[in-house]
Amino acid sequence: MSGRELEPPRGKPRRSIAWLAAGGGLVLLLLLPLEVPSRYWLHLLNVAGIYAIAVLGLNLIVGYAGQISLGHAAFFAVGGYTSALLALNLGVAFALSFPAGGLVAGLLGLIVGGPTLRLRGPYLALATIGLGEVTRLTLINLPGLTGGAQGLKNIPSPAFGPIEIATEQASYYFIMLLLALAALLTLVLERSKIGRRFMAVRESEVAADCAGIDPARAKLLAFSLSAIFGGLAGAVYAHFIGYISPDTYGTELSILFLTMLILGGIATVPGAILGAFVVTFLPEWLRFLHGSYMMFFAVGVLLLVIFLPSGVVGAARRLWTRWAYSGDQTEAEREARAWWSRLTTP
Amino acid sequence: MEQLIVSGLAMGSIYALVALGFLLIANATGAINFAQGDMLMVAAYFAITASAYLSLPLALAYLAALLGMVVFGLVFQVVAYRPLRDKPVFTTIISTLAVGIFLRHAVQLIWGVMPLGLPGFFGNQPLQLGDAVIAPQNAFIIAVTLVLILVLHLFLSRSALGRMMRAVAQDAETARLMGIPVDRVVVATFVLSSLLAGVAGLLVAPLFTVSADMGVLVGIKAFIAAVIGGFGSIPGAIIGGLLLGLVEIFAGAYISSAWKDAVAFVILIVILFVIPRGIMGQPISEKV
Amino acid sequence: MVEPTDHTLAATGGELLSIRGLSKQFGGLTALDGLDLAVRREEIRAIIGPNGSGKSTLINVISGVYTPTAGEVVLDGAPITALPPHERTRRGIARTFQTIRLFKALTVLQNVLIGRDCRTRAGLLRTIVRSPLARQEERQAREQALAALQFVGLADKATWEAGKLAHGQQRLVEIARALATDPRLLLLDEPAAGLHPVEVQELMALIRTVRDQGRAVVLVEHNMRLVMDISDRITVLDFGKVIAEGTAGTVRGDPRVIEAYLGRGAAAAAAHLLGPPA
Repeated sequence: MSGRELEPPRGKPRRSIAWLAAGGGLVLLLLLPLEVPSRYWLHLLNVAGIYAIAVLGLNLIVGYAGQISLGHAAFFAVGGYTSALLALNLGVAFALSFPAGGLVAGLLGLIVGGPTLRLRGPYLALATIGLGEVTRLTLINLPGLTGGAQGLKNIPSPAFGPIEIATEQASYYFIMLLLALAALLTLVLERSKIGRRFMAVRESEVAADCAGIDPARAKLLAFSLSAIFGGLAGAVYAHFIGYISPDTYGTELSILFLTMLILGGIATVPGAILGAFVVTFLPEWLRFLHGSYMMFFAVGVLLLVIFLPSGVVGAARRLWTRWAYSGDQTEAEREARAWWSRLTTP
Repeated sequence: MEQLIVSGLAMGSIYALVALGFLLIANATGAINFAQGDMLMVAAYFAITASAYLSLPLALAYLAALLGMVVFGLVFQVVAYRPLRDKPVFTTIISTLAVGIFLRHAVQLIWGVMPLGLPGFFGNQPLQLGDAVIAPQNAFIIAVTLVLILVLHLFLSRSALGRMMRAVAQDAETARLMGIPVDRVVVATFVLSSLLAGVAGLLVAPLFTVSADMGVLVGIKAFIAAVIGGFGSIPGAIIGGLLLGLVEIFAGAYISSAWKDAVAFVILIVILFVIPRGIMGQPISEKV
Repeated sequence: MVEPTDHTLAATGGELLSIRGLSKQFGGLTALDGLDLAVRREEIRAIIGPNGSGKSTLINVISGVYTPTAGEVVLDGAPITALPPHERTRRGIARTFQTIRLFKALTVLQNVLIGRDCRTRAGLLRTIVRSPLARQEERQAREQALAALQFVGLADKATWEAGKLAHGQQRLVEIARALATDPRLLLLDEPAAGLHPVEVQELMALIRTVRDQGRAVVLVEHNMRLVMDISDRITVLDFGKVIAEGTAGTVRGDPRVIEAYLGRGAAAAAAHLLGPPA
């Protein structure tokens, strides 16, 4: 039994057209490094791609599981430092240090998550801020291990055996590949019973509990997974940039990640990715505002959260349903929502 | 030794004041005001403007700054809270964070990046109190805070507005049903919070320099103080603040000054592992 | 149809759920006061009583949302008093809520699937890599969830967003979600609230079928028509204690019951309780 088969709403492209568009998009993505005006823009794309991986992780705990997390930078930091230290001090190959970074970050999430996730709302927000700040301060105050406030330099570029990813272009393909894998993994989770569990806890912890879901375990899992994503992204970042220091990883970075997620569209994979790219490029686009661009950025974020709380992707979906169904709104909205939610209900 | 205690209590008083302002808003509306620390900074800049640029005598400059904070509270409420009243709580987190970022950069734009100085009422001559030698500003801070807490307590327990605030903090819906103008009470709460942050800013500014970032760390630590004391509890916030101030100073003196800032967070983590409810509070839970 | 799987039946005199000396206090308020209750398998048991008598608290304690101050809850001979709700669900207790608690942003099908998920075995790793077991379980879960939706008559709304359904339909989805967990004991907290008479009739048929599937149903209700019509036994609460228990006929005429209700609004309660003339 498959339930009622929905008629595609007016304007929905046929399957074949969707595939064509996806194929075209893929070609564009692959050729992008050759079209980009300068190395600097390519560099920004790469940074945005790394951030996008981290934000996909944040989406697991904030978007799906509905818990506030304002300390995501801690995982980004731990992943980066772990991988960098393994590479610099023990000569560990990237292929090993990179997953190690993710695992150590995940471990941190597992350990800290237990007591932290018992808290709700404001308490949780503060606890996660505390996590971020303690991590940063620990990194500053253990100079023997972490290089202290100066950080670590000369972190080797990512390499797999003889293949070294040293140029911006090579990095681009590597990062996009990782991003694609991260997105795929997130989508698989979203459609699986694990994703369902997270969302159930988000919607109503009590109902989830009475439906057989252990809310504490679900939240911990989401948190740990988000930590792994953050750690892996952080590891790539460290080897990509080549030098890291504690003030890269303050609460501002955590706030940045959250802003990217909300701006792009919370609880959506395209939203997380879009948000990362838009927010990374925003300072460039606002460059003409010189010193005051942060102010405009802040105002922009404020307006966005007031008028578009479901982010760009959320607004786009609403606009799309309105265009596809210029007539009957309610029935149409239901249909369209159901069609969109096909993603989560195969 | 006495000097450390006094310094610790003074800094703790600042944390307590900021924590109180933060808590009043959180209790009344459920919103987390991440710009509470930055409000402290704004007050200091107001005072500097009044005194250095408008050449007002110091006391008047302070007064002007506090009046400015009243207006600021009103505007802040309209901008960062009112439009997001009915939306999920994380939206106010983002909005107040955004306002905080805006304030920090706006301040740099207007007053420049160089740290400025705000004079206090006392000179640098230390006071002699028995055996102890203490900085007069510290004593002033503690005194003012004590008085303010007393006034606040009387206000909340005796005055009509204070009682309405407590009612709204307990249960906004029921308060509304009982005829309390909840929206106006919320506005008053924001103004009061703003004033508390303002007083804290004016008290602490003479101790250090005034710069755009001065409120950030204080804000975070005040939040931690609120959690330590048991989020939601006013006496808890005060105790948490004072405790934090003391432990910080002593840690700075006896362990190392590098770890001084970390102390607040370490305490936070310990409390979370050991007493998640904080010293005097209750976790918010979903009602069934 | 979601048929119950074979549960081992302990020989405890046919009692599925037994509650002994249950008390629950909230600060100074005593919601439940030394309550005893025994529910048989395949029984429809109604819990009625004036407002504040502790009915919802009882459901909350049985389902594990509240921990009792004293007393014990025993399911099929095994004490469950200390178990959290999700553990009790795994052991066969499912419930609906007085105020509907659906996962509103999720589709109807997802809501019911979540109920079914607790009966699957595939763990994190297998789910992520989409192993054959995971895929098979997902397929089966989907079929069973749809069957549950069919049972409550909402299979055609499977892809709708749960929050967009009408009130009565949301209630049914909650019931489908509870049934998907394959419970031995179904707790319904005011299922008829806000339903039209026609929907109440359908609900009654549904509850009877659930019982005939081999499950026990405990329902808290104010709709006396429904209660008197389908209950095998009725328990009346007042001030957290049981004041009467028996069949509809017994309870109807019990003077203590009438007094409990009459004390809170004579005419309405009497008419309410006694129903229309036979």
